[in-house]
Amino acid sequence: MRPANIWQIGRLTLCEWTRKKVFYMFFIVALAFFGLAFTLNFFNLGPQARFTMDLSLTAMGLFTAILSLGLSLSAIPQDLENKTAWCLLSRPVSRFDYLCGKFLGTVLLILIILSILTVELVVVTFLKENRLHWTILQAGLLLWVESLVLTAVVLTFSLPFSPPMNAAFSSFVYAVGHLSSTYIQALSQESRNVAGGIPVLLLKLALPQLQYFDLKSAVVQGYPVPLGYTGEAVLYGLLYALMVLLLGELLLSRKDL
Amino acid sequence: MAALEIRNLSKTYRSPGRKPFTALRDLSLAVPEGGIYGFLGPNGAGKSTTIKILVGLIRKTGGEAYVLGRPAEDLTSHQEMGYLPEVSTYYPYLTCRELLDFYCSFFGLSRRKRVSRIGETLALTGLTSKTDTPVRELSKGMQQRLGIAQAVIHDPPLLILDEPTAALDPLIQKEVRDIILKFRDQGKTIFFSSHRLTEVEYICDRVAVLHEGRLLLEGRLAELLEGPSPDCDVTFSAEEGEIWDRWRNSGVPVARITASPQTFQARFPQKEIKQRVSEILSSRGSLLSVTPVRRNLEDLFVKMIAEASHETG
Repeated sequence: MRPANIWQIGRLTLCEWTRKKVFYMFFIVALAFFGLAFTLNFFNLGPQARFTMDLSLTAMGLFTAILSLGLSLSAIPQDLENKTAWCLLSRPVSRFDYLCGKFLGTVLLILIILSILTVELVVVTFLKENRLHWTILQAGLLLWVESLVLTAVVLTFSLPFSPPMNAAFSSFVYAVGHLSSTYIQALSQESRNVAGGIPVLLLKLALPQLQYFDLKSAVVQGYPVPLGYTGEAVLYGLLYALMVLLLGELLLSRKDL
Repeated sequence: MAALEIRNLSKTYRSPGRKPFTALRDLSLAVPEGGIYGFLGPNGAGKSTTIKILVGLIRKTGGEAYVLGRPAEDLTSHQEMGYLPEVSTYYPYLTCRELLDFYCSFFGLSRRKRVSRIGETLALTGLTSKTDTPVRELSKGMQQRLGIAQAVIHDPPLLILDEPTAALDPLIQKEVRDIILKFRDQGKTIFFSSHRLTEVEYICDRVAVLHEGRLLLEGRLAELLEGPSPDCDVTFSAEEGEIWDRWRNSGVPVARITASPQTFQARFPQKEIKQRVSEILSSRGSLLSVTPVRRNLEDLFVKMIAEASHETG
């Protein structure tokens, strides 16, 4: 693995996305949605200001998921179909470098967009309530970490599956990921013996625990989020994404181009 | 040391629900350093498969492949090799300069060195005026030149070109050929596959012919084409309806030379020449010339492929 190669491919991927008109359309629609939410007088009252945050964070979560899915779905298949990957991979670039570069470019773009939206939310809630909601920053950070997991999953699924199948499987992982900790908790209570516990443990390891990254309730209710929790969730997200990318490398290295 | 060395290389493609397809069978080949090496074969012969194994795009199923002494799957071997794929598509939103800078960035060159290499390469491939033009605005011929530019941007000693002149018009073919000759003059080794036999004959020092994944023929082009041809072209003039009709009816390959009325040409094996000449003279015809046919790559290629196809049934 060469970090310089990953950076170059990441930079190119980022440049590729930012030169597409559809990206700006998407971004403008998201900003317009935010603007609309904040200008409505309906949201100006105290408890309804929380509703504004709830709505905005929900929109940010959905926007991030759609962006991760939409960008990663075609990133590698398009390169393979157009054969642009041929010239790249005939250079001293490993397939892992290539995969990580595509990953980096995509998550950097999501980071830029999420940063703008998060800062915008912080500023507007400050203007409304005259106090800073620092937890919004933590919520924004964890949304980005969630996008790392989702992007890694979609990129890896794009190697064996066609884009429509990938979209279906990845959406399923996203949905299950948000339910998995509740589901696994229920399963753990059902199977208390060792033999039953192993499959539950394996399931826990295999499915992404996307609920970790959801700080919406805490932000809306105004609860503080310990930094330790945020750190743990970031570490979990990074390790999970790395594990999925390593699986992707295994699939890509066996692929004939 | 050979620039490329292939020993008993084989490749079988397997996909679920399909019969395995063997594209290469025990191919062995050595490409010496320097000069232009032509890699020929009909469609499906295994040329692109061999090239893709050499550049690390597909995995071999057996045998060994070395690039400048290092295993082809070793990424360090890619450091000294440039590759032009059969179908070249480049990032359309990048300018020529950005694209070359991107490809150059994987070789650990300093910024200053990269800028200088980009300028030199654009000049060499005749693209200086297109430096800041986006790739999507280039014509097909320009894109092919850009393809060559990306292959040589890091100044590699070895170039692997897969059908570099396919689907180009004759003028651009010539331009691309001239660029390849410039690289040869710089001392680089060029390994290229092609369908254009006249082009190969014109620029290659050595050739290998592949058929159904097997090597049919390999050697120096001059040696392969040297020696007397078994055939001669006989040009003669005769009255219409005389020997012309007789030979045509008996299946002798004779053709009228349209520019000169009553002048004909026929090709015969050398051992028949004496007899055919006396037939012409005895029919009150005049013998104009007897020329040994020069052996060419096309005839050799067609003959080899026909024989190999006949053997494999």
